[in-house]
Amino acid sequence: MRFRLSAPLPNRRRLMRPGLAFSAMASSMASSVLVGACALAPAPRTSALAAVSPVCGQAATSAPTSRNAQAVVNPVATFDTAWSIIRRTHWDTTYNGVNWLALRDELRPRAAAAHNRGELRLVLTEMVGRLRQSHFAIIPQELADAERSADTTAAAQPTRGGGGSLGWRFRYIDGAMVLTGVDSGGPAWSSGVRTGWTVQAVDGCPLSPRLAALGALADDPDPRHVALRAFQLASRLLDGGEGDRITVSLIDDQQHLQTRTLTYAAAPGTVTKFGNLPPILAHLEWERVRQDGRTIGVIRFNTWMPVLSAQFDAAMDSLRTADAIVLDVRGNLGGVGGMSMGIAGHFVDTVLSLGTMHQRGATLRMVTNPRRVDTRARAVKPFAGPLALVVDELSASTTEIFAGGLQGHRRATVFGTRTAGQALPSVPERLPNGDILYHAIADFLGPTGTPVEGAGVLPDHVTPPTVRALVEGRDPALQAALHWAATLASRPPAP
Amino acid sequence: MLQTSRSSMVRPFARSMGRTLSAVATLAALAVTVPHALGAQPLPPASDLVARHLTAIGGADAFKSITSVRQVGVMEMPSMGLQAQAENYAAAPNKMSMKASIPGIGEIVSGTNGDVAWQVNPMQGPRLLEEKELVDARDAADFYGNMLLAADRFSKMETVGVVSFADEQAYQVKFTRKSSGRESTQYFSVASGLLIGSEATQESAMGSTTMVTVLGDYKDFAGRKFPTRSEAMVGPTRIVLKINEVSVNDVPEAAFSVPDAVRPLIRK
Repeated sequence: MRFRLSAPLPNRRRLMRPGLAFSAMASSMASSVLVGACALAPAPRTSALAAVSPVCGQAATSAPTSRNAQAVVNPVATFDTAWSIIRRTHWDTTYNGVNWLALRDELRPRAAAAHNRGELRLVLTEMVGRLRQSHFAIIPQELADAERSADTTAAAQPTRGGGGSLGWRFRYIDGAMVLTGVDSGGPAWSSGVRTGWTVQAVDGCPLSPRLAALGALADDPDPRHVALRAFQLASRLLDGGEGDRITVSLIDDQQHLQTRTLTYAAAPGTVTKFGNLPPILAHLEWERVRQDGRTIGVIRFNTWMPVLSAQFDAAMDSLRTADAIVLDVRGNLGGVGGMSMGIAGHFVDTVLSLGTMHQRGATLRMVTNPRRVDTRARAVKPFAGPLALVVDELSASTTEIFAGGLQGHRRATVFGTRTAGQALPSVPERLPNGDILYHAIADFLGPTGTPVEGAGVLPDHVTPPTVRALVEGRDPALQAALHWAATLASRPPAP
Repeated sequence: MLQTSRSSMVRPFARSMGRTLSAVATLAALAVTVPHALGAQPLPPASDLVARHLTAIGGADAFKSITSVRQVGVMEMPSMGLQAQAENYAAAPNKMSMKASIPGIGEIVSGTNGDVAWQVNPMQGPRLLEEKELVDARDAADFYGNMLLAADRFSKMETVGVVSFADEQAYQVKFTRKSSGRESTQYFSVASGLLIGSEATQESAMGSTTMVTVLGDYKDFAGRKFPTRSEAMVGPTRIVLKINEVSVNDVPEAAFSVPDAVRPLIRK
């Protein structure tokens, strides 16, 4: 049985007098939101992505919803603001080896010469890109202020809206974009599309040359980053709004080319807005799975947005009697870091540090809050049974903080593939021109003292997906996690 | 709702970025401000500065007649684009509670009834404050001690210099709280006598941070002056608090009730 739940900052206090009472709440907000860590914004090398992502010859940046062509007013003010923010907040006063003062001297004249927003954005993107660290990006104002969720990795899709669903998931596997899941009853399923098929073309435009170009980029050969860029590209091309239509060509399990025209359905979940971040579609679902005579609770959620906290708490209430829990956080790109402390608290009965944020002037631990009260205000014990996490190269940021932290304390066993290695706490700050400077403000070290940035989380059991397995209806990582969980469950099998 | 809140904050913020950065720069500079003498005059004792401040805000007697205070305002975290509707309640002798409603997060509450202290937020769940946090909460809830900066609450009150604080000449006074040993630095305006800021270490489960707060825009409510604006720097993050409503002696006891979600955590 599967249940879908559709939707809906910590605290510190200090008060020297009633007039300062709000300082307590201020500190409270800071301790939650400061640790906001998220890889939802464009990757730092989006200029490289843009270079290989024309839509059948039409540059993506020419999308009609983009404001790139708009004249820019006082570009130097925006440049100086962005430069100063990073200078003030970057935790590493060597700026990862970049001479920050010299970089201003180099790029400021180019910013001053920018005639439109697009040109200024390129300069700003180059500036943050020089740091070669995750969580530095420029989010266009039109994306940040959009009413609906949409791909945030490049300019908006030129012919369709965003936020709809075709009822499938895909990943970059062996140089191709492969469907790793197709929801029964969804638009793709209804038209006969099945898991394991490979996307060949979108609206008549071949996909493989663009994917090949991404892989050939010499500046960043990390296969996880290539996979992320490929995913971003495909997400943009395959994005559409409810009711929109798209024609997709796929190779099926018999190696035959199949072309389908699909109509987008409403995407499951809730569109949520968190501060300056663009609207994000937040979705959580859970189910009970019988495995080897045991009951395993499986929870999936796509982002760490507070709107999902109550849903996760409710899912845990329903799964408290399960023999084991599997959290499938593949494709979860991150979100608000403070949320990981509350979710982890469902699985530990002591205060544990998931890791440490090192920001300028302060070091803060991400500590769990053992969850000893359920959603109906009844005393409970945190879940003590086996816990498995399923991750992949698109598990990023807060997901890595969570997974690496619980793995480091041996509270969770991790399955899947190495995570993205993009785990720097960050904030999205508004610039004078309305764009958002998404910038990291801290380094993050896991509970063993090693950086999560770059390395990511290496699963205890590496179980990569294969096209063959997908075609055969198998999910190697999830199946391994379920088998492990059932084997480890201490309770006797139900009669 | 979301759009309303964004249009009322984000766009003005963008327009006033230059002024905002100036304020941030001022705050950031506080830590390196070098004390200097104000002429050849001896520094006034801390007790005199406290008395002058109390006079400036309406007199100690006016505040001694208060048994509770309710404040309503807006808290903003510009770097995140977040804005919260916030309410704070405090009552004699040692009660306090706060709640903040934040779009995209929900309602966060915290408080103490003088015995236990708690926090509840949607992302992390309910918890009781313990150890240093509990001590801090109790310090924070000391109604008259905090409001009057009463000398009997502190083992040390020492004027250490005159510094430039938030573009004002200010007396810098070190306080050490008798009950907890907690140290803080308060800044009193040389010109107005008003308390215009503070600096203290924040202890929490996550660790220690230094919080610098600038107070301003004192306004009259029921014959007493309260600061209606404060800007706090918590690490690299700036938080702006604007109070638009203050009332006294009208806080119901229920404001300090332990939340239902916290009750099961209290050991019998």
